[in-house]
Amino acid sequence: MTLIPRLGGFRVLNGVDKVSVITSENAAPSPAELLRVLSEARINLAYLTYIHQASTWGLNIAVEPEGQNEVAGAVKSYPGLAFSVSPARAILSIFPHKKSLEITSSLLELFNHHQLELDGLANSPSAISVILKEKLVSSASRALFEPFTFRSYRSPADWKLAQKGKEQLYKEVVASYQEKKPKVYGLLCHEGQELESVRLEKKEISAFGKTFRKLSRLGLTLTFIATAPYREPGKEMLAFCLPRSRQLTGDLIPQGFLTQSLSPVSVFSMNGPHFGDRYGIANELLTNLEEKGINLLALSCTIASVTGVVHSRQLTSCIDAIRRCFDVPSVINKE
Amino acid sequence: MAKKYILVVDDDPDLVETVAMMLESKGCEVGMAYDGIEGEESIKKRRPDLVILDIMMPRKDGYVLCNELKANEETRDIPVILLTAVGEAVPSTTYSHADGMATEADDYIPKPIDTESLWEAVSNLL
Repeated sequence: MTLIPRLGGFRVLNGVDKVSVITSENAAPSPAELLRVLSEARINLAYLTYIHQASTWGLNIAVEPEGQNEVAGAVKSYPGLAFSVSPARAILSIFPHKKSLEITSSLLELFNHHQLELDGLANSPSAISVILKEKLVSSASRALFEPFTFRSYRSPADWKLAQKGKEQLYKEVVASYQEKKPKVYGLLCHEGQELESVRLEKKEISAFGKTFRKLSRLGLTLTFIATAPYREPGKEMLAFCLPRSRQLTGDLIPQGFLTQSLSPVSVFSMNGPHFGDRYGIANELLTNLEEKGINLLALSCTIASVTGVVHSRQLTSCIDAIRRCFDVPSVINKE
Repeated sequence: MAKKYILVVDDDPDLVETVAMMLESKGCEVGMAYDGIEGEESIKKRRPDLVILDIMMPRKDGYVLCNELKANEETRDIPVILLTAVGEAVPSTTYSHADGMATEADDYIPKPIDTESLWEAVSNLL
């Protein structure tokens, strides 16, 4: 008998534009430089994923529509950057994922089964987030009740009823944080990880749920997942971290998809007050990592967290760099 | 000795996760809920040794749930720590530190919380 995963809930952020940025092989700015410009323009990135790809990098960001022109202007000012804008998108996040590959595979499989196009994927310590067309949110929300049950809502109607928010109050709370030195509630590090990068057609991302299903049967946990544009048009990079175990990926990841397997790497996550609503957080982090010469391999920012992947040998310097720019009360290390 | 069971109720799932990891690293068992109604249902199903409760949440806020717990004979002795992100910096809000102190919560910690201070407050109440 298959057990239906029971989740705490899901949330949707409507009305965002997705901007994808990719560097050419030629000289291009660092991601920190681009994020600095966006931070100076006070553009909040509700969602950000970044994947380093050999000599290039790609990132996806989600911004409010009024920020889209600023982003496009900033990107255009740099030679060596190409970008595309996907308007009228939403971010749907389910939680808690408990680092379960089964939950991630169920989510991807439902998108695949219902032919719901997925524009991006990211994780936080608690949530798996997808970017999708805003017009698909209703169907996707209904479909979530097939592979999952939710403790708080028994039906899509229950969920809708629970969404009555306090938007104005939230805005004021966020504004009250904006100018303060960023504080994080905690910094969590997972060591002994392996970073897998696969190259896919966009429509193949949800089909990858099948591979995660196979990996989940091995009892592996998923500490990181993100997608970003690839330098070939129409292609995406999917990066994810599993506990280090050489024979697994080669056997289970379909031939031709895997482009890179790196280990040992470490995954760090930091969660702070309204990090998903405040501009400049990712910029602060990336600037400090760059100054310390730390090679950020991949990044995923969603909900209220920043999750990054670095070579294990750079983890200590990475924590030092984070402590320089964020107030970190404690670090929890997990093998 | 049995592990202490602590329920964390907050609508920020990442904060719930961070606090849960901190508490688990200290040897506690942790339950998670993401709004006041879910917190209430969770308490009915399993009585926690302590509740960490956010104030500003959808469906039922932390003040209401705290007051209900303290008004009920069966739950009034469950220690409650209130967390909130709001205060003097948010003038229009009806939530304030003074309101927090006016409830019968056993402790009150303003956000952004420091997980070490939170643990100190938890261990004082367990």
